[in-house]
Amino acid sequence: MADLVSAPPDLRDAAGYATSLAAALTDPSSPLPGFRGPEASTTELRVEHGRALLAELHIQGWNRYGWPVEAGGLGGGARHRAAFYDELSRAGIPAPEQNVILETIGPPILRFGPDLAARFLPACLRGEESWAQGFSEPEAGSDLAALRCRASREGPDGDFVVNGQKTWTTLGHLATRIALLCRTGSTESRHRGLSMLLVDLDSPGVTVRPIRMSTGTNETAEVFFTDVRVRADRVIGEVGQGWAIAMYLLQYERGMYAWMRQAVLFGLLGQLAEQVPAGARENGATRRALGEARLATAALRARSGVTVRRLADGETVGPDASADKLLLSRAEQTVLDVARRVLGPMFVLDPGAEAERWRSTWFYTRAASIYGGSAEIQRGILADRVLMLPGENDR
Amino acid sequence: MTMDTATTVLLRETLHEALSGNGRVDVPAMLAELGWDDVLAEDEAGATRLLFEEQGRALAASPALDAVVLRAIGLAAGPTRVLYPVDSWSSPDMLDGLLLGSVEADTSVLTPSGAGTSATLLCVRFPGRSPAEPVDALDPDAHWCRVRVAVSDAQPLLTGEAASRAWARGLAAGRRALASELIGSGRAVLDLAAEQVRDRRQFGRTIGSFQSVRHRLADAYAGLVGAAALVESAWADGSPSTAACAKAFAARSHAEVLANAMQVSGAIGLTWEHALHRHARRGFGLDALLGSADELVTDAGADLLAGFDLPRFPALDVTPVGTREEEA
Ligand SMILES: Cc1cc2nc3c(=O)[nH]c(=O)nc-3n(C[C@H](O)[C@H](O)[C@H](O)COP(=O)(O)OP(=O)(O)OC[C@H]3O[C@@H](n4cnc5c(N)ncnc54)[C@H](O)[C@@H]3O)c2cc1C
Repeated sequence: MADLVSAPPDLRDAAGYATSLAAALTDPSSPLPGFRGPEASTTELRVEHGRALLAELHIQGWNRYGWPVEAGGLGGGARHRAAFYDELSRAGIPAPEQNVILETIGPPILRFGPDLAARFLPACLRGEESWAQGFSEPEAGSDLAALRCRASREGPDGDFVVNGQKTWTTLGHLATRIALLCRTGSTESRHRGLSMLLVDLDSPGVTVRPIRMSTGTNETAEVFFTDVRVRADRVIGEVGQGWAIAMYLLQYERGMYAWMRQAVLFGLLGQLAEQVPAGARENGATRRALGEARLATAALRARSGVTVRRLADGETVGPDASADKLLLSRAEQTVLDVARRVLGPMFVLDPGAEAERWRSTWFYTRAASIYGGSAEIQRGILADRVLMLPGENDR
Repeated sequence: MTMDTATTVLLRETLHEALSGNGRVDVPAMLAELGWDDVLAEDEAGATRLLFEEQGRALAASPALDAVVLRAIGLAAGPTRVLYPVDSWSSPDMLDGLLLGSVEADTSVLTPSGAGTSATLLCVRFPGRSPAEPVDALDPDAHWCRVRVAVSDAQPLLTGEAASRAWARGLAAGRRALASELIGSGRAVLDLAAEQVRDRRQFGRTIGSFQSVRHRLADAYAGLVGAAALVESAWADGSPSTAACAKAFAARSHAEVLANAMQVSGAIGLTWEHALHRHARRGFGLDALLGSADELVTDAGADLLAGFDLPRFPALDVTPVGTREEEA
């Protein structure tokens, strides 16, 4: 629970925190304004930038708000963290790349594995370590419950031995630990026989290979596990509870992540507006296109803000978070489609770093309707569980 | 103050029941009976959203929008109704616009004219010399009228910057209300379609089990929840630009749910009997009032080019940390 007794009163509520943080991020006597964009060109450099930024923010405590004291934070909740991402974007400072994963895995570890959170989360806040999310496998994409990576219990201590493969693991080759969704029950047990382990990626038997994505950068990785020993105390929650934890996690992957992205997208819209070629600024089609992009992003901001607020208040968002994910896909892809059209020849021909950043981001936004459950999967969830339509196999 | 969930549910039901009189409800009388001023005093944003959502759902017609616009403009006394300008009709010396429903003799009606420093808010005694003419080609149930008044017959209430600021407040409030009305109508459309695809069977199964049908309705649902969230933030941040986005997004979502509902409902959805066409007609009309989605989207793009400043997200502030159980 929030423990901000030692925090100055004006930082206890997220609005006061946002205002103070905004001032700190632009204070010329502090090193923080030096972290302003443009965003670095490779994943490795972005994570490095994130490390340095987190270390600096940590000295003044700014990135510790929103995380509990027991896990290295200063108390407060998801509202503080939401304000953190919004203010970074306003100040033109790229958010730490590794926080995308921290925001996804952090809340379920706090909730289901508080001891693990107390041990490892403080180092994430200091920027010293980062995590990865190991769900997808070559044969288990949309059908996540088909996953096969196995953890068997061996020996008197109940330690696990892990064998199998994960893929598309965001930042996998740069991470310290991975939250591994793996099978501890029989193959037929589907979602009932799953558990989640927090595994060190430098363990003997782990091999990580980066995957270069269409963005041109190594966004994701394949992770191979061969007889990897994992201590029994690395289970998040209980053995067999993996699916429930994954479902809890997905609310954050669809809600808080969407919020983080709206902050980025509003930043991109601002940059785009500055870069519209002089001859196109008075053009009605340009204005309409920019307006459409802004509308989609405004809806994402409003909706993900509501979801973050619900998560902060301890509500279960459940299947409704699928609507956020659909609004996210639309906003991401609309903004970058508009950027491509409005920037015209620059997008196509310019060899410079700025143009490459737009191109790379265009490709990045194509993934928004794939990761975290594809758009089709989200529609299915809404149809089944919110609109209560007949199931696909109903007759 | 905001209403708690139980009050919201109760109020929604009350409004729903009162408004479902097939378009022939005397909404102002109904609201007076409910003690609407007290409800507004308690939670203006929540109550206004509910009223307009339910009005849209029930396809009820009323001048409730006038009260919203006038309240936001905040003149101490004076006009009780609003004449909504239609730009393509108006000229510098002739006010020409729409009234929502009829007006009684000797009613004073507010209308804006001009923009920026030459803006004025005018008051017209009504009926004036020119009678109201029904505008019923598209949507007769809306009971709109066209009114023409010479500017020289109107009396200025506010001029210049004061008028322009006051009208901007009225516009923002009116757009938030219209967005809610579009959302309410959109939800009714989604419900109609969902009901149809649950019941209708072809190829030995309910058509609601076909993926393309399910996905169309799920997409429409996402649009409507996005619109509802935008209206909520528009109330919370009070900014004209968020209000404009809310109305534009609501109109877009309405068009999307309608297109998908018409497709999945088949021929039955295209009959005169079916309510879909009435929601379509109402939606087109609401889109045209106080700025269409196309106009507002163009404005939103122009704002961006002019260096628009994103309002901080107010929904994050509602509960200070420490007063409620946080997730952490
Ligand atoms: C950039 C990026 C980062 C990622 N990061 C991570 C990560 O950090 N950790 C992690 O575990 N995973 C990650 N993923 C993997 C992601 O979760 C999967 O890509 C996703 O679940 C889809 O699986 P798939 O790619 O195998 O596609 P498939 O499941 O093969 O789907 C292909 C297409 O078929 C459609 N389809 C599948 N089933 C159905 C159905 N029942 N009805 C209708 N259509 C269907 C899908 O919607 C999709 O369009 C990442 C992916 C990307 C692109």
